[in-house]
Amino acid sequence: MKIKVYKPFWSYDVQKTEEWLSSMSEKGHELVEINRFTRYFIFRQGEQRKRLYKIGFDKMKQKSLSSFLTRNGWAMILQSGNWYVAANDKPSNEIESYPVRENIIKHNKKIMYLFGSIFIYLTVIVLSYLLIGLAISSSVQFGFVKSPLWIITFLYAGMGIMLWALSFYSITKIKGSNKRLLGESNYSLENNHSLENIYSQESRHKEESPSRDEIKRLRRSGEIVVKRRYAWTYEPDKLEKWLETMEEDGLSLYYVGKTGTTFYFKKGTPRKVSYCADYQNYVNEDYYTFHKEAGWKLIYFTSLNLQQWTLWSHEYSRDEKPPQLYSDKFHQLKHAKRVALTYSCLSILIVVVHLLQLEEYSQLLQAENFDISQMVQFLFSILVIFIFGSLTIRTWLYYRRIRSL
Amino acid sequence: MSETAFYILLSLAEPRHGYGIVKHVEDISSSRIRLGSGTVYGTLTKMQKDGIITVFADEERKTVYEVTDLGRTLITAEISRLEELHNNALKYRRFFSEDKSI
Repeated sequence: MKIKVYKPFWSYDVQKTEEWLSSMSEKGHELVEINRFTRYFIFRQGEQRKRLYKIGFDKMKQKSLSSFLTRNGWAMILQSGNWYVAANDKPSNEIESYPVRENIIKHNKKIMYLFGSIFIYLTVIVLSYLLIGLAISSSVQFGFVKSPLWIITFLYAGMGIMLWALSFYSITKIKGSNKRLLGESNYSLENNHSLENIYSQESRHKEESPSRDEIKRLRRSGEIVVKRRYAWTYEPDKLEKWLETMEEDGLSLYYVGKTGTTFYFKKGTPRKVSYCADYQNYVNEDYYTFHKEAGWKLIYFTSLNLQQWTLWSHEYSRDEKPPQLYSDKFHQLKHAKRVALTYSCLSILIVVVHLLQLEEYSQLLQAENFDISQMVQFLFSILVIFIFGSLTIRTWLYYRRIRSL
Repeated sequence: MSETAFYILLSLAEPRHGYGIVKHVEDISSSRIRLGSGTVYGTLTKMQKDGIITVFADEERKTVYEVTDLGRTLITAEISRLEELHNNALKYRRFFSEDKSI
């Protein structure tokens, strides 16, 4: 006998789904299939047993569990697209290894960003219509014309509202679930049993930055020197060198402001410190633990989840070789290329848009009906092209410097 | 295969944590090679994508890296190639040495 259970949002909270699968197994329902399109879970009647289920996500075509997991009693029950379900019949105190969660967190984040953009888009549209409606309601009399075509309007509105609600539901649900998944992996690392204090981005920021009052106090007493550095992401090697010479002059980097442009230095004794500004498209929690174990100290990170700049420091003694985040040329070049390509793509788009505008203005100029506001816009476009053009050139100069090292 | 990739894969003779790899490579190369954590992180991510290694979480929920069958084939082939290099190096060394009797 087969049982079909409909679970439309099972992947939003895999931990809950896993618990549910375990409880089904205790009732004698054995999972045999997941249909990702109809969202049905199919069970067959089997023996009642205690079973631990773990859901995993892997983009590799041929999914196989690591041999360590297999030896520890894990077996792959089923695969569906990138998803797989593994089960273990051992008592939980004998289980020493688990499938990793990173890929699920990453996948969830992508869905969250998608729904986030839909949510913002729909909200902006509704708000702007409401504003226009309010603005003209005093002067224009509204009336409804009877027409069967209204059904289309209502249908669209209904679909919009449903999509809006779905987006809201998805975002809140995934946010909570990702937090729990992250907490699971940091559970023992931090030796902290409460989920509120997990080592997430927010707590990382709070933990590692001094309070505003503390900075104010130090500034007033003259113990701190404040310097500003703009657009360093276009030439991170220069920033690293600058920070390293500051340390040699006895100014140690104490804190970097949230926007990443204000650098607070504490006056002290000269030190030998290596700095590394690293740009990644996506980082997982391992990235942080890995560098920290290797002795690097996290100074600053951008709070954007998908694209991330991090600034690391590592003190060393005078007779030691300076530590490097990238010890080989291949990865140094790869990093420089990533920076140069990403910023170029962004800049080219902006430059092209403004070049097209310039073209339009130059036609107007020939027609000689040019007013001041157009003149300002014309100059503004030239300025934008100049700034973004020079920034792009800077990233490629950075790439060339790394290549010629 | 680059020296970095070779040593990373070689240190996965048994499953290890990320930093465990850095320490092990330093040990077996008598501190000649000090891998940067960024380099190791980048290589491991790439190897995972290519199916050469796989990961699991240990009791403490820390990520552990393990070589796959494909990775095992790859490192064995590389070791054979290095053996050939090594044998030939020994065989022809005396022609380049000042003392031809070696």
